[in-house]
Amino acid sequence: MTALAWLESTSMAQTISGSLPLTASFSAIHLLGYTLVLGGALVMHLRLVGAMLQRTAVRDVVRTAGYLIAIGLGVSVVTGSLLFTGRATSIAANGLFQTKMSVLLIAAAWQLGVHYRLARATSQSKQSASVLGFVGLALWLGLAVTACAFILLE
Amino acid sequence: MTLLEICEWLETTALAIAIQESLYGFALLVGAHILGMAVSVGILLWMDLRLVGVALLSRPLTEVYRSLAPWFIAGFGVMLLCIGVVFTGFWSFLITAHAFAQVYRLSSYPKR
Repeated sequence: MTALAWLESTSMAQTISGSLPLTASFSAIHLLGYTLVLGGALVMHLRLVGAMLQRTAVRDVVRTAGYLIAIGLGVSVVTGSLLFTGRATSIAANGLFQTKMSVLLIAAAWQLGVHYRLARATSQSKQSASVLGFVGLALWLGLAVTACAFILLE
Repeated sequence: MTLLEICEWLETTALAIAIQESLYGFALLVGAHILGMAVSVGILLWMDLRLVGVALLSRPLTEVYRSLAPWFIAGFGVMLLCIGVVFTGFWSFLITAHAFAQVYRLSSYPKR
């Protein structure tokens, strides 16, 4: 028996996959977490690009965005993992899920790098901030698109 | 013409048939709806954090609102437009579904 098959056979996984209210509740909370992540990431990167909150210090926006993304990711990862246990074997083999997870890891690593760079920076050129902003926007919106594709097309 | 008859007529329009028969049309529209919702609620959250005095305190409230409003209104518009188009294909089903049926009953009161 593989690890994924064992995971699916646990009583917790069977309770979740066999209960529509539980699955629906976890899915709804997962979507709320995703909203927090996207809201934090969008505002932070749009600020870096210079499309909003131009007169607010980048450091202030980055700090708040960091909290929102961390809380949102925590909520999404916990609920996503619980939902995953019910259909672990089929979901792990799904190409769209693998793409979603790859983009998530890259976006999270990027976010962490940018967060520490901007938190320590004393000054930042407009051009390099824009580049950081555009790459971050592409990554987080890419995650949103692959997540929607996984939910709707699997 | 009753509300149900209007809904049934809406389902026969070219747009509704295109949504019902398209392979990816439904998924694309629902995906855009979810994205629009996440964008509008996610950005609106910053406004709420400013209102409760947690974030963006260095700038006046009106300035924060003016900067964020175009983005969350655009997200809300995309969300509303996409779900409106999706619903065109399934109005009579939706109107008789439980949550929508409550609104339908209220809208037809006291005729029914």
